[in-house]
Amino acid sequence: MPDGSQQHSFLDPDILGRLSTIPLDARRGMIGGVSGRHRSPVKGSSLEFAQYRKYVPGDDLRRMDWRAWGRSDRYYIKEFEADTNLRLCLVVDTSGSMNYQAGSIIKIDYARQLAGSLAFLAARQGDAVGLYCASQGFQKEIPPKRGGAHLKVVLDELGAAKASGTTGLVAALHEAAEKIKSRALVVILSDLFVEPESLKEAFQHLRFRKHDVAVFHLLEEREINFDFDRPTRFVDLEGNAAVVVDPSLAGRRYRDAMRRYLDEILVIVRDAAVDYHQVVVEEKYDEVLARFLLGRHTGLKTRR
Amino acid sequence: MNFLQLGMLLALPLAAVPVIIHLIHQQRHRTVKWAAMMFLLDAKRLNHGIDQLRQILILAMRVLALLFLIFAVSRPLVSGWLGLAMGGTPDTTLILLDRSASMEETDAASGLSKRETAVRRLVDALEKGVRAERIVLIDSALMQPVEIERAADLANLPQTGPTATRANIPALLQTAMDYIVAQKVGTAEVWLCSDMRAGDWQPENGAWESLRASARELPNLRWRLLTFPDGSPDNIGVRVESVRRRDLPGSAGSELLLDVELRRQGTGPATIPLGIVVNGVRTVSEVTISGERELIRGMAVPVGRDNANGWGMVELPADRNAMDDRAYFVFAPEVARRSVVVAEEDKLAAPVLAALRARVEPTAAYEAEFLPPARVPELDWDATMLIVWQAPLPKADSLEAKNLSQFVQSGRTVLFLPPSGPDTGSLFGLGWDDWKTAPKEDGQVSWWRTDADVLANTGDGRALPLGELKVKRLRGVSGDGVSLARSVDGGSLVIRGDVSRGSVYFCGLSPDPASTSLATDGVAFFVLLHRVLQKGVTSGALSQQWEAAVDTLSDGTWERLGSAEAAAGVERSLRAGAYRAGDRFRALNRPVEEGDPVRIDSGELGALLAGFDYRVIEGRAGEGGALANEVWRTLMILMAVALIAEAILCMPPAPDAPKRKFEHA
Repeated sequence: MPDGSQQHSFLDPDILGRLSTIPLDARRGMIGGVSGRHRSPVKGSSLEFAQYRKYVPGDDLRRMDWRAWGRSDRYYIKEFEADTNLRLCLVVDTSGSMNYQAGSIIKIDYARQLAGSLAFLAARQGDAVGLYCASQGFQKEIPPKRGGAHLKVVLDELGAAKASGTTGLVAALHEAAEKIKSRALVVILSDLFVEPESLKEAFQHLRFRKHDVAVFHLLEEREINFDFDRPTRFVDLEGNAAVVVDPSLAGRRYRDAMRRYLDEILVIVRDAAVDYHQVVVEEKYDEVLARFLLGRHTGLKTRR
Repeated sequence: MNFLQLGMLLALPLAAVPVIIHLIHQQRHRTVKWAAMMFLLDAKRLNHGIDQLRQILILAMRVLALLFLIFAVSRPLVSGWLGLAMGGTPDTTLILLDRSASMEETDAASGLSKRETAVRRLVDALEKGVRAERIVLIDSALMQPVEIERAADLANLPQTGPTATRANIPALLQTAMDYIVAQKVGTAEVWLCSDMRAGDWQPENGAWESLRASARELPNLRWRLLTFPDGSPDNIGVRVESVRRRDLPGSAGSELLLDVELRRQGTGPATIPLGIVVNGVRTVSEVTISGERELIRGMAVPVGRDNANGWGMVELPADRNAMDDRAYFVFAPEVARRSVVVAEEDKLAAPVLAALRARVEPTAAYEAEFLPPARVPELDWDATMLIVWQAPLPKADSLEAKNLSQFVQSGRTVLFLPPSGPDTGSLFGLGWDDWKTAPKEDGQVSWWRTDADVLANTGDGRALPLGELKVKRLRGVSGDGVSLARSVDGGSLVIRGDVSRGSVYFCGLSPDPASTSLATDGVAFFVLLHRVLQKGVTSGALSQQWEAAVDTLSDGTWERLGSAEAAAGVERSLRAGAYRAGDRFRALNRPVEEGDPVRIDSGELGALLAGFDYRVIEGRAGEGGALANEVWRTLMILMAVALIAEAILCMPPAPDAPKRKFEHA
């Protein structure tokens, strides 16, 4: 596997080295193409015992538990967990609003760091990685595959992705739900500045397709608290429309609207069982990733 | 409104600073590329309305606060109420001061009379703010405009002192208007101080119509009425209506019979000690007053037989108005009521002599003498009360004319009847027209004045029968004077001459039976003659009960009796008192109208001053409120209120929910 961190500036080898100690787990069974470290909804032949079930004609006699027959004079088939690999689908919002500059960093760059690191970590543990750059439809669409060469392609495309145009995230998510055939971990990196109701339908569509959905909601502190002290001319990143707003007059209403929006988002992600992470882009992305990975790892153990 | 620091008003444009800062603040916006436009547009759309109104109110409060501050440091002066003196500074401030006796009503606490209060408040106003290039005082007693250097001098001028006179408000206003017209005053503020007594304002006076017309022609006049309409019910005024002396039978001596009138505003019985001083000897008797007016007739005061003449006064205990607590009187032996008829022919003089010799008052002696014009030098001017002149008018520079003028100036009366021949001369500003033959005998006298003067109705209200006179020919009167009767063609038949003292009457109806029935239907003629005689007697008697007025002591060297002089010069004649000049005695008292407490109300005032740009400020005696006040304190309070309002409007709305913590699902 190539060391992508050497060629892509958005990857930090030190951070990747630290994060590689935490496995990327799926919260539910995955259906992969090869054997891997993730659970599968079907039973397989790993060493980990799963359950007994009654023998039915046609079962493989080699899997008959003769000791159980000797004790109970009944035929039981011994089943084991099947381990498979994970298909990580990274959906990166590349609409114009992701060009928002929060201090020294731009949202799209932050998303690039998160997505690139996740891709690297997934590939390192033998999982397949795919990339979908969404603005108006998919700008880039790379189906998940395993292998170092494929990872390089993903990272190259990620590095080349540019944020522009208006948001088409909802439509892109619906499209992704249809295109990603089997169960996968779908990680969405976006500012989610769309109508919450339409977003809800998109998430439920993904859930209906049995995907494990995780969302990194990228925001900046000023976007939430609107800390401006004087009238400011705001230019829309997605349409160049401009409006002059006096924060002393409109600030309160803005914050109210933002609060309502975030509350709605929280309800939606809970209803859709989405692994939701509200991220302020001033935060170090490795901490965000560590929290994400640990949360999933711990959650998996708890559910077992 | 006036400002003590007028220059500070140059800073008024600074009030626009908040608006300018606001506009600059709005223009200095920076540009931010923004992602969350959906919330921003939503907030901005909802922002219109209340928030913008709040912003405008904040700006308005800031501007107002600055305005109030600038006005406060400019130290504005506001007269009366805020809108009172909103005009600019007038060229001239005229002060019309009612110095009537009723203005001496005092405030019990401060001891200040209405007149003193008015003067103090005017001085205060003039010194503080109601400034003018020229200050002119016209008082009701002297009616002479006096220019004043400094407002503070007002309080010390004799022209603002107390008098026992009556005010003639229409004449006072006319004097002020005449002054304004004569001096070509541009803008003037006229302050009229009065206690609104109907007797002073004379609502029935015909001069009001011309005053209103004049006011309409003088639009640059602002009239300010400083009124003192309050009266004190417990104040009682006294007046001696008449004095008669009679000898008692035997050796009991003599006594004076006084008719004394008491007036007040209150009701309810009250017993008061009435002091009577005769030639310095004081007696006290108690009298009871039960209504608003009490007339005590025939109060007998014994005097010795030796006291054939003298003076006295009736006095009440001190109350709110000292000016009406004393009434002076004088008494002296009656002199004969002597008349002289100067006529061309004795037959013309006969009916006149017959009427004038009739004893109207039984105790008085009536004498009448006929003199042809050639014997006028024999006339005893001093002993004569009335001259009836039926002869050509003497030339203006003749000795007879001078003697007649002095005779009138001494207060006595001349009645001129038409001479039979042509006469083109004039005397006292009056002269004869040519004889005219009346087209018909009846009803030639179409109008005569029935409310006052010598042709007034009789005591029971009946008019004199002038309309029933038969007139064959008549002679009109022309010149300056007050017309008392007119013929059907509108010409004057009887005119009272315009003289300052004494009386002059011209009557165009001759007693000659060939001309009129004046002598044969002699009722009107008889009344006319005795009324003009009575006017002369009033001035010619040895004891004279006069009303205090200008020049009432100018006809001799009058010595005040009983007390020291309270004033000097012309002011002496404006005070009540008893005086003596040789064997003549004269009592000066407040006019009878001053005892009438009736005041005009605001409705009557509005009708009288229709067309005047006037404002009324009601005051009370002793009231210290200034007519012009510095209002900077009020403005500072207003500024504070504006700042507090601004602070309240700027307060952040109900606290937002705590700033959002980032949540990790």
